[in-house]
Amino acid sequence: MTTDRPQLRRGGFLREAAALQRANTDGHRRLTRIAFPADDGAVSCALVTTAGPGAPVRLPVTAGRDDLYAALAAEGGWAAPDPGPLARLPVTAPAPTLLVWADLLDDLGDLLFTLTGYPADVGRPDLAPRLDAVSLTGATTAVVEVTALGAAHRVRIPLDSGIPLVAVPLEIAEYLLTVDGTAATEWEYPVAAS
Amino acid sequence: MSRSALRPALGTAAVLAALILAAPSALAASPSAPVPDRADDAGVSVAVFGDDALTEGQQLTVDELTRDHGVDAGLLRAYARGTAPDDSDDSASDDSASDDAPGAAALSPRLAGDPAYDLVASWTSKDHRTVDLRRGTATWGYTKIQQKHNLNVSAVRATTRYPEPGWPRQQSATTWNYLTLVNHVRCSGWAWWRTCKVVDFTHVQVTVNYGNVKGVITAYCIGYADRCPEWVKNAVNGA
Repeated sequence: MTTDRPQLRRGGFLREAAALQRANTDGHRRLTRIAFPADDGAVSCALVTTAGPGAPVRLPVTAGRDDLYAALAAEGGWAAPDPGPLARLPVTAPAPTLLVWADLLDDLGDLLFTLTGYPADVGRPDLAPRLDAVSLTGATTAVVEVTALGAAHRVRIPLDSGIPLVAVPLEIAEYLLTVDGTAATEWEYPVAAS
Repeated sequence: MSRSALRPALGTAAVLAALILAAPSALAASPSAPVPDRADDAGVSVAVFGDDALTEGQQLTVDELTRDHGVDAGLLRAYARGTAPDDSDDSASDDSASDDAPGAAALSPRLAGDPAYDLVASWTSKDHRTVDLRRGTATWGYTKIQQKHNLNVSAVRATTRYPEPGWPRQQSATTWNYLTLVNHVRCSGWAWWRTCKVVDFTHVQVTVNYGNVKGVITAYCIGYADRCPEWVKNAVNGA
């Protein structure tokens, strides 16, 4: 298993963002997009957009939940994140959508290493998928954007399916292996019990 | 992984040729010889997890496998007879599938209210952690491991109990990878004249989340995008 340190840092940031969203699930404040622009080459920052009136904030990917909370303070209305880690299983509908969204961010962050690690382990290190952004679209859909072999892929994930969203980066990697990653695709995340 | 993919080739001297050639039919004809289980004549493929001392081409007796390599001879015979416990049946509730939580599979606690979170098995890893294996879905957990990667509880458990030196390795704040060498040992012959040979190997990797208690995320054979070879499921050590 190769170690993709930039991917690991992006994963860490997503978990910190998840912690802030977990403390804010009543609908007043939501993170609508977290992007990892490659314009600085090293992909060392995250661009966070909220449903609030403020402009997107730019933070280093090493920022913690308190840094993000502070960066969004000008918007007002955000509850402070719990300092502890998520120590329970991901919730599913009918839990509040924003809590499902927060848990998805946590899962993406926790297992982001599989996005590059799994293809490499099964003989496709050249695929090297990279997470570009994750966003909340509409009331109940998340969209994960990845690039592999130069092609962009958008994965739409329903947050109201009632099926646990676990190991989402791994499933995205599996999908990219099947389509060989060479052509841009829009894809509905397969939500099935078995 | 600590073992090179290029193993030193051993000579193929048939150390145990005489035993292999021992004619079961002649023994069976002897009134004093034990009546063998005919199924013992059939060759059997088993998997020895986490043993770097075995080398491809090496020939061993069952005694040597048992004494020097931690192989459960009874389990080996059970595989030969086709009577090994099938822990791929996730309705099984025997303790071999759930040594730290006997009967856990039968109790099927509905954590967080979703059947995907049902506990299939639970055990202690080499690094003294409790590994939970949940039913999961087609994308994670036991359902994926079984359906896509053709592995069972025994293979996943043995990987976490016999990882390669330097493993497990932390991949994120709460998730670890375990990697182990798995030797394919093929045995043939009859009863205690059975002889075995290391014919192949692979590596199995298991990803375990501890922090969110998701447990085993996935398990697969390195280099195989889909199904592991069938023999990897026949773990004869670390069960």
